[in-house]
This record gives sequence, structure tokens and C-alpha cells, in this order.
Amino acid sequence: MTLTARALKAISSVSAVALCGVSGVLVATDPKPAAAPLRPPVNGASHGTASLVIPPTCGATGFAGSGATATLDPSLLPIAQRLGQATTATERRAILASLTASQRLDIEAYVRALRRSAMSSSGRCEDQGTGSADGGSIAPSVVAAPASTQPLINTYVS
Amino acid sequence: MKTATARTIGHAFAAFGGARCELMVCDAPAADVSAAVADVVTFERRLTRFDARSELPRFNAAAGARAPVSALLSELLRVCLDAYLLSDGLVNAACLPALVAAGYDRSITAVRRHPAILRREAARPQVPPLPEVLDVGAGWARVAPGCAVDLGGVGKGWLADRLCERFDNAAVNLGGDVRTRGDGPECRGWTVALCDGRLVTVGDAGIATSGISGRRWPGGHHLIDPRTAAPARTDVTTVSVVAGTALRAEVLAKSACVMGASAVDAWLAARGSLRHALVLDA
Repeated sequence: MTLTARALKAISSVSAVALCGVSGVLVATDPKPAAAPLRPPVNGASHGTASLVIPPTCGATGFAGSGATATLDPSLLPIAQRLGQATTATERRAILASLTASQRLDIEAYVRALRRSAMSSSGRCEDQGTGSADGGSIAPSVVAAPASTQPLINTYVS
Repeated sequence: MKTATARTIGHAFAAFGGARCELMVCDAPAADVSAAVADVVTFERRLTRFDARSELPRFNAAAGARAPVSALLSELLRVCLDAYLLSDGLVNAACLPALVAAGYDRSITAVRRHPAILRREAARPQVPPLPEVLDVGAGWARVAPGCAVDLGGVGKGWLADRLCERFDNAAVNLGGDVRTRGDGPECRGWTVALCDGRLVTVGDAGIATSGISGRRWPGGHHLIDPRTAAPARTDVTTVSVVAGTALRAEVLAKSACVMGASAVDAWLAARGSLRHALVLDA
């Protein structure tokens, strides 16, 4: 028995449609886990793990926006990241130097919010009066000055 | 031990409704000091409640709805929530309607020149607990309908801390909210006069003074007692507090003034005050 080319094409098309249909039904009826990982597991976890794996990147170091308590112009995020990692005042000034006043304020607020978020998630409190706002590394010092001293600053009711 | 005198740049200017502000910075480029001054001016312009175009009035005008907020306002609103907790509710940013009802409805210069005529029979707005009326999320915030917030001195304290942290050896004074870092221009620390005239020498610390003698007008002053929704009736005219940061010192000083002298010593010590000075009503 010989089949014409047209008949072969028709059989091929019908077979393809049938195959796709059967596959679709099989996929639709296949049992699935209730919660699938949103991202591939990290740290060598096996692929068979059913529980949701959250990458350990949000909150404390989440400069990409996840875990942040405020939002920032995306173009400023790399600068905020550098500011958050700066360890000296000179570094901080250098990072902020090229920005407008408004951008400086927003970036400092953003970094501050991240730090607050990281501290609260780790159970630490900042600004407890026993350390600096940088996280408590410098103890404040205060001593009575001789009355003969000339004050550099007056604090007053404004 | 360092003994040389540091090259110091000093700059004094008026901001926050005419309050005296000072930056004293040792061994840093003048451009960075100028940038800090610009930041103070910009901070006030962005957040003053006396200009309807600034972010804070626009946020208050959107009461009841989730409003988009900048990173700056978002952080400051969170700071206000922290201040509420630290102060046992005595520093409450939701006191703005009460403050306006007390007569502080324009800039302090305008209020002093033409005080509002207050009707005694007028209903006094209550001051709700701040956490019940303010939500802050990622990029948005919401204040409850009929409520409004004012950053008050909390904003100044926060800013003084941020600006001072940009320098290794500096003092920043924003209308009485002072933050210092380093060992001063002569390596002997920063000497600061408190409200009672006593002097303290500090290294890394915050100092703030609050009281009822500054922003006042016939019939009122700016320190609202959230418990009564009226200008605080207190025996403390002025209080200075030394603490770890200007922000903390500001919150503690304002609380102490509202609270009154009788309970203030133990209360302040339990919240990180290193030293305080009171001037009582004669």
C-alpha cells in the first residue's frame, strides 16, 4: 500500500496533535507538591527537598531591594551598597560627594533603614545610648569641664 | 597622644524656622562642610510642614490612603515610631492637629507676630497613640484619616547624627540638637554648655536641649503633652540631656520636659541618659 505525500502529512499532523493532547492531559493530572521552591535550593541542598528554601541574602545585605524597609531610585542602589560597606568617614564622604543633597539624604536614610532592619532581625537594638549610631563600637564619653573653659557649643531651646 | 591643633572649619547659619545651626569640622575639605550645609537646607525644604509643596504636608493630605514616600520620609516616620516607644508615648508625632489647635499653625515667626485667636470652647483634638495611626511599609506609608504627623525635633536629631558621622572630628548643632565626634579641635574633646550653664566635655555623644521657653506665643508653646493634647503644663522650663546620639538626647530631653521634674532622674537614667541638667520654673 502506498500513501501519498499529502496523506503522510495529514497522518503526521494528527499524530502530533494527539501526542500533545495526551501529554497535556498527563501533565495536568500529575500530582504536584503543595509548595515548590521559588528559587533553586542553595548550599548543596538536594533537589528532592520539599520545603521552601529562602536564600540567605535578604534583610542584612539586601541592597537589591528585597528585605529593604524603604525604596530607592534603582540607579542609586549601587552607591547605597558602597555606602553601607564604607568603614571610615572619609570613605563615606567620597561616596556621597558626587550626589545632590536630596540624593545624599535619601541614600543615608535608605542605608539607615537597612541597618535598622538587619539589627531588628538579629535581635539587636541600636542607639541605646551606650554606643555610637554606627552600631555601638564607640562608647560616648562625658566629663564635667572646668567652669573656666570656654564652651565651643551651646545647646539651647530653639 | 595627639597634641597638634586641628584645622577647623566653622559655619553658622539659620535653619528650621530661624534656629541657629553650626557645623564645626576638623581636618576635612571645605567642600564636604558645604555639602553638609546644603543637606540641612534641603532637608528642611523637603519636610517642612509650612510649605504645602513639601513631602510631609502632601503625605498628611493623603491621610487614609497608602501614599508613596521617599526613603528619607520613610526612615523618619520609622524613627518617630521608635521615639514613641522610647519616650513611653510622650514624644508623639501624631500631635500635629493638637499643635495647630494650640496656635502653632504657621511658622514660628508668623505666630509670634500675629498669634492666632484661640477659642476656648473649641474642641481640642485628641492625640492618638502613634502606632495605632501610622503604618510604614516598603516605599509607602499611611496615616489614619483625620490624623497628621509632624517630625518635630526628631528630624533635627536624626540629621545631626547623619551629618556628624561623615566626619571623624566634628560637632554639628542643629537648633540645639548637638552631635559630636572625635576629640575636638585641640584634642581635648568638645566642650558644650548645657542649659543651666554647666559645661561638659564630650567625645562621641549627642546633646539636646528642650523646653517651653523657646517656641512660645501668647497663650501657648510648642511642647504638646499627648496625654492632654495641650501645651505641657510642667515645672521644667528647660532640660538638657547627654546621650549616645543627638536623636536619643532629643527624645529624652523632650520627654523629660513634658514629664516634669519629679520623676525625671530615674526615668532618664533607665533610657541611656549619661547626664542631664534642668532649669525649673521659678
